[in-house]
Amino acid sequence: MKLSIRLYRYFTVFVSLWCIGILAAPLLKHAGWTQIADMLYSFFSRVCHQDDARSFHVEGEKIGVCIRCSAIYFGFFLGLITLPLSRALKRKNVPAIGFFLFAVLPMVVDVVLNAAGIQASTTMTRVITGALFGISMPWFIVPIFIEACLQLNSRNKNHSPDAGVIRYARKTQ
Amino acid sequence: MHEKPSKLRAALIGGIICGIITGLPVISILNKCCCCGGVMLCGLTSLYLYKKEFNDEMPPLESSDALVLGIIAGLAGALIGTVIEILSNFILGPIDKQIVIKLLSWVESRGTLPPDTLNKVDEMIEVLQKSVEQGIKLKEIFSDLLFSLILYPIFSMLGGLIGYGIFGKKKPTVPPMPPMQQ
Repeated sequence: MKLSIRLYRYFTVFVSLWCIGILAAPLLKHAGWTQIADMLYSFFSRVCHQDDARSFHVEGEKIGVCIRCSAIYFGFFLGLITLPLSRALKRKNVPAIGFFLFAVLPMVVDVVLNAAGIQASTTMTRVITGALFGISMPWFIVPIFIEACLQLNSRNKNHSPDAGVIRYARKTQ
Repeated sequence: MHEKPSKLRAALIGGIICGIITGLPVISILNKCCCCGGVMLCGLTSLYLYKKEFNDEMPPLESSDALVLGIIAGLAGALIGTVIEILSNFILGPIDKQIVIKLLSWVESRGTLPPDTLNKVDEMIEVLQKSVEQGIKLKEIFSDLLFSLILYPIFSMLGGLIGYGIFGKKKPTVPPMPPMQQ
């Protein structure tokens, strides 16, 4: 299997586990596994405020992260699994900066307007702007991530002490 | 051709910014409200600083540099942030928790919350007050450090990769046209 496809799969598995973790926290708490649930909540508390009023609830318990964060992560997962349908993984080019701004600006505007007290953000605005950012980001991040890992891999091969020996052995065969 | 500049300086500056953003009481809440955007910004900043160290004689900035730089900045940020968090806890006490308690009490006193939410707010205040009374525990410090060491390099790396997408790629230079022969 090609390395780029393998890297993409690792990346997808990681993001899937991340999203499962977000949903697992309330389910485990509801099932009585409070210690593991608390650990998951504590894990996600490093990246999110976990405000109860601004979180979705499963089985009466808030999920691991707030509404905006969950929209970003689940949107990212959605964008990630649909990415190979729209472009080849080996393609290295990333969208223009305008694409990034198009993805991030609505969320920034929503946050700023809310913080300034001009327009309070609602569940709908948090979901839409967060999901827009999340879905768009794989187009931006994944090609660069794969390219970077391929570069590191080829650099390691060239720098390993056996690399020259193997090449020499192949030539002499 | 010269070698690429060292990543250490840019990564350390990114790490210090990350540490301040995640370690100081009130600012760390803002970082969490922005879904860890502050940590991503550190990866992006360190890449920007690193790119500024390049000159024309050096090989171009590569995406692998952005990835490695983001991870190093995140690791440094996790360590520095934990140190700042411990120091601020010793000097200021659990000021962030006290702010949250005050905010929740204020929301509660407005009397606009439905009974269900009111109960939850009460529970939250109770939990926070207990943790304020208990003070900071060694176990908490270690778990926070462990989680930070896992999470911040990931987010900082993503910031570095986004940064590379924004200003990392160098436009190919067009060689000068040969003079026309008449």
